[in-house]
Amino acid sequence: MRIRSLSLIAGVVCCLASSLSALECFVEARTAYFLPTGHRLKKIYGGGALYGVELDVQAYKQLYGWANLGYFGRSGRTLLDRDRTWLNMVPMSVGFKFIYNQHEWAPAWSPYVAVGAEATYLNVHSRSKFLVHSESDWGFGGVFKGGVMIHPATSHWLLDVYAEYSHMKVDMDRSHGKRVSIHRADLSGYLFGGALGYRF
Amino acid sequence: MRILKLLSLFVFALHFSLSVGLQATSNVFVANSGDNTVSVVDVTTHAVVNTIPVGDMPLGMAMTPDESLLYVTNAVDNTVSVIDVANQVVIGAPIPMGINPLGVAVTPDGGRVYVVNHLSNNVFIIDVSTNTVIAPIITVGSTPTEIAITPDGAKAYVTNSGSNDVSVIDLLTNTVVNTINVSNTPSALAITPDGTKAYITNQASNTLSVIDTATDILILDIPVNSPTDIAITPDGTKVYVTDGGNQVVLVIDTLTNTVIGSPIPVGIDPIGIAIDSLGKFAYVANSGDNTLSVIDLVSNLVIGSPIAVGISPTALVAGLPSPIFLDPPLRIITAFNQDLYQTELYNILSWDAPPAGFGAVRCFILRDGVQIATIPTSVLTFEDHNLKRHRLYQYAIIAQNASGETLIFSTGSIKTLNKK
Repeated sequence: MRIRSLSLIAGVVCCLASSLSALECFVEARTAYFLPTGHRLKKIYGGGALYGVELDVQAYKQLYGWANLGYFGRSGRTLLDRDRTWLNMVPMSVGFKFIYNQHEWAPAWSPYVAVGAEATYLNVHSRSKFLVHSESDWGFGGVFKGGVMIHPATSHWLLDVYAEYSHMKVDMDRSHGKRVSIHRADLSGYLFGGALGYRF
Repeated sequence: MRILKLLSLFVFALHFSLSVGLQATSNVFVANSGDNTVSVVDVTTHAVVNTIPVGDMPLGMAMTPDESLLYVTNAVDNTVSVIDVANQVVIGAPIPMGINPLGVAVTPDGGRVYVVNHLSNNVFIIDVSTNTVIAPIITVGSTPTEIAITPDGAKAYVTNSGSNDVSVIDLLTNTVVNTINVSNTPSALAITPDGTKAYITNQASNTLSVIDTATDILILDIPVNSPTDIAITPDGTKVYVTDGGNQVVLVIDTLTNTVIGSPIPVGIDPIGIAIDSLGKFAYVANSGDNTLSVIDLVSNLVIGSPIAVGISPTALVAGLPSPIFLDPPLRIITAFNQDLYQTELYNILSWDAPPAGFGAVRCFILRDGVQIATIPTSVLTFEDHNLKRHRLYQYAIIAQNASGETLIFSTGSIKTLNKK
């Protein structure tokens, strides 16, 4: 189900990319290790793989606009009672990317930095009968990332190695009649990953 | 005969319980107006361990602070009997009073006893060292019924049921220094442990008057039903009022001066109430069925079976609560279960097994007087979930045996943290 969803998203992104063929653009399938910095996220779910796709479109010379869609899903145990809990997180971000040393169709290492705004859809399920069973909400934050694109000569394919920091907090404000204290969920964390891209 | 008729009316209408701060006895003394005795009830065993003959129609009682002497007003033969508490016998000759002595109170220093003479409209003073009446005789309002003394021993308040007012007596000069108008037929009264307020039952108007003792001004009237007697917890937070018409006890929060919780069903014609010196239990004299009900003040439930006493019990004096009800304590800790965005707070209760001799077959867990669980007696822990932060919770573990009798054997409270 997860792979099918990602394939569908990738297909949509490819279609968009081909419609933008007049401009230089990349499409990347990305995989990263998400290392949470929020105390509860780290303690309950820990880190794990975050999958995503990214579309980069040249805006002006070395300045590119980008859009990213990701998915992170983990299960864990509540603190103290060790009740089963699941988390689904879909980060969506847009921003600008500045690519250095970008030589058209020549073998090159092209480092880049990027900054953007992020919206994240969060869904949490809990099996505890004393906690809210399921709740979803949106959060908004920012993302900063940097990496290196490696693209051999005469090839459309490229590799991308990157690191990213995302600052993200989600206000979950509904208790659904349960007598619980509701807090802001801290989804901030680092991403270390790689991507396989295609250059149009 | 006329007096008898009058008194028989008052038996069902007046209050004579006296909240005396006892320190050592775990007995409850009950004046039985119908058979002219005082029953001594051992609250540990719930058994009447002694019956002491006194004068004709005992209606009021008060004990000295050192618990050595118990003064009992005998309304028909116009005397006061003095009981040696340690030996549980009447000592000396009855002390002659005015006509129809009812309410009685002992000064905090234990030196004097003030007795209200209902039909002679005055108050007599007894010197405890000699057990004789001393001057002066204090004239008060019409048909006085009850008296209470402030904890500092400075003033006494006398309810005058005929003139619908309260006389304030300066105990230094033994003169009436103030008269406060209240509602119809004031009878029972009690003063808060901090001495700031007096609560008075007005039988004909079905209200409870609250008087500010600093200014001697009536603050407000609280609507209640058929109030017959009143007692205040040692911490001053709650007032317990017997409702003679509905056979219940009402609980009033002294902070808001409103009735809280559900009425507590007791026996027939509850007419007297007293609270033990630790504030654990209230004892209610049910004059209609000749029993004593015991109310657990944590759960606000009647515990155990009614205790049979003499005929028409009216007045009570209670000391310490039964040790069996105090041990073992309930162990409570607060825990937090945390998910990514939510924290659930709960208390973990643990206790020792119910007394083996009781033959418990199940246990009930009460939180703030409301039953929240029924569990087997083999289970000795319980988790109470989804609680509020920064709030006091009171628990009681009640065992029930095969005969349906109940026993509160473990109680405790905890204030949850303000943690998010």
